[in-house]
Amino acid sequence: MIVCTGIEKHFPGGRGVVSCDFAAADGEVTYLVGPNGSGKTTLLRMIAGSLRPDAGTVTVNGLNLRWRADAKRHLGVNLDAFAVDRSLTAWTHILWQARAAGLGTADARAALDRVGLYEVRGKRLTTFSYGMLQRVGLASALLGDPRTVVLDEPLNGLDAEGIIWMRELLAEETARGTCFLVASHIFGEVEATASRVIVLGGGQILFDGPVAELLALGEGPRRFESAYTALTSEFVSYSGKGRWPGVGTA
Amino acid sequence: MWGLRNAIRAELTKLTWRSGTLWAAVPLSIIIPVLVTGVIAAGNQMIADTNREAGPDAVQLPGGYSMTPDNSVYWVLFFATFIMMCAAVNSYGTEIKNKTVDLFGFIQPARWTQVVAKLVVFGTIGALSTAAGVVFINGVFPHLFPGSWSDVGLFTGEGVRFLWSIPLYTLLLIAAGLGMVAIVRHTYIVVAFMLFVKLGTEAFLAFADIDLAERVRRYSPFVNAEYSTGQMQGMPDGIWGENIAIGYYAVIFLAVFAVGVWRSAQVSRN
Repeated sequence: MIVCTGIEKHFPGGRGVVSCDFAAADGEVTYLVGPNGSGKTTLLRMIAGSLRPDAGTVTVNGLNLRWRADAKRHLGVNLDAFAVDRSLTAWTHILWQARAAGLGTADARAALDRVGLYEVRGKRLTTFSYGMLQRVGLASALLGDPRTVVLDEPLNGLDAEGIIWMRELLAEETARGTCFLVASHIFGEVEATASRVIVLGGGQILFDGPVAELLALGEGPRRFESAYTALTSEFVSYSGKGRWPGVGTA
Repeated sequence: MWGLRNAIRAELTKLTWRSGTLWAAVPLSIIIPVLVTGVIAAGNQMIADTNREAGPDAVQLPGGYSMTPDNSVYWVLFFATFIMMCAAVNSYGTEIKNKTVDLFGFIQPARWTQVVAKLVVFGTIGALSTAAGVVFINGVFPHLFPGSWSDVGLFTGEGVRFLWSIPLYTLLLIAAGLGMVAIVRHTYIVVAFMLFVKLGTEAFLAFADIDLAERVRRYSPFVNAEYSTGQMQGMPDGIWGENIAIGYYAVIFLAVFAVGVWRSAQVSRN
């Protein structure tokens, strides 16, 4: 479970995240959606510990993970599928992470097996497609069987089979009680797999609730899209700049 | 310490048989100095033999001198140390560029253990490979080239000092390189800067025929490092002894490393 309380981040120029309070529960898939630059990745980076918040607290499974030896058992993260050394094989890439976490070869094997890449573990990552690299990133996140998983755009680059596989994986993992916090732009998948949706705009939470509640705000044949557009329209312009509270309009 | 132990194991895992460090840096750090020294030694041996056969009354070819025991492994000092530093700097610089430092940070949020683990792993490999070069040159060359290398030995006073002081220099140079790349985040800048200091500024100071340049040069870290190994002409008129010179350059190199470790532990603020 992830709990963010009063979390804030301010960047030069006024962008960032403004006092966000939310929770992502165990056994659920919570999606972060919002326009580009709305603060999704900033939030995920603060939760993952790679960006320091200016204010507020983040706990994962009720813990501050900064000094914990078993951090990987609590939180798995994949924010960038290209964060790999392509000269390494898939096996070496996952195994060094397992070693760094104090885990063994069985854990590395289980992670690669979980994403369907164990058979090609000996191939160099330079030969992998974007979709395969997404799976490698997911293996990194699932390594050590963490109770909470944070993913940024995990569907990018996946083919139709990969998307179906991802749906099944989310369903199986949440059934085991795993908490997922996922940033995504792909509304169809959000609608199909979300337990809860958080809509961000201008660094603020515009909506936080079950997906059914968000759909109830929409109208027409594409209710999710309609509700999302209504919520975020104030924060999107097509002149090249988004609108941000207190920074002026585009 | 659990974090450091695990980080060292992670670093060792990356050193597969395909690793550039193992199949390129280590062999090159041994082969290049051995080859360069071997060509020089063979040439001297050949000239010495020719002069001896011609007799003392004949016109003597230039060269053919005997290698002095305090200059036998100069090319190890020159090439091997920097090759191994470049390997370590490239390893960490590539991780920064590929953002795999972030993957490590997700696993060990304290982060500093990664750069320390690289020092342990690359420092050990670097020390061993430079020691291997010293052993080969000082141990084998006197037998291969008795005419020009008879004064050189592995267990002479100079030989023994080279045997521990050059690996120590390699370790500390790797520490400085890793520290610097943790600070500036770019491999090429670090390598260029190190080469500029050693081959640019220090060489300039050596050739500048003024008293001030000579005085400044005596405080140069690389000059002190070479001097501390017992290498001839490292610093003919040192302001302190060879052992104090070790302490001097070690403090500088380790200070850079300490700042780098601190920098690597900082969670990004933007």
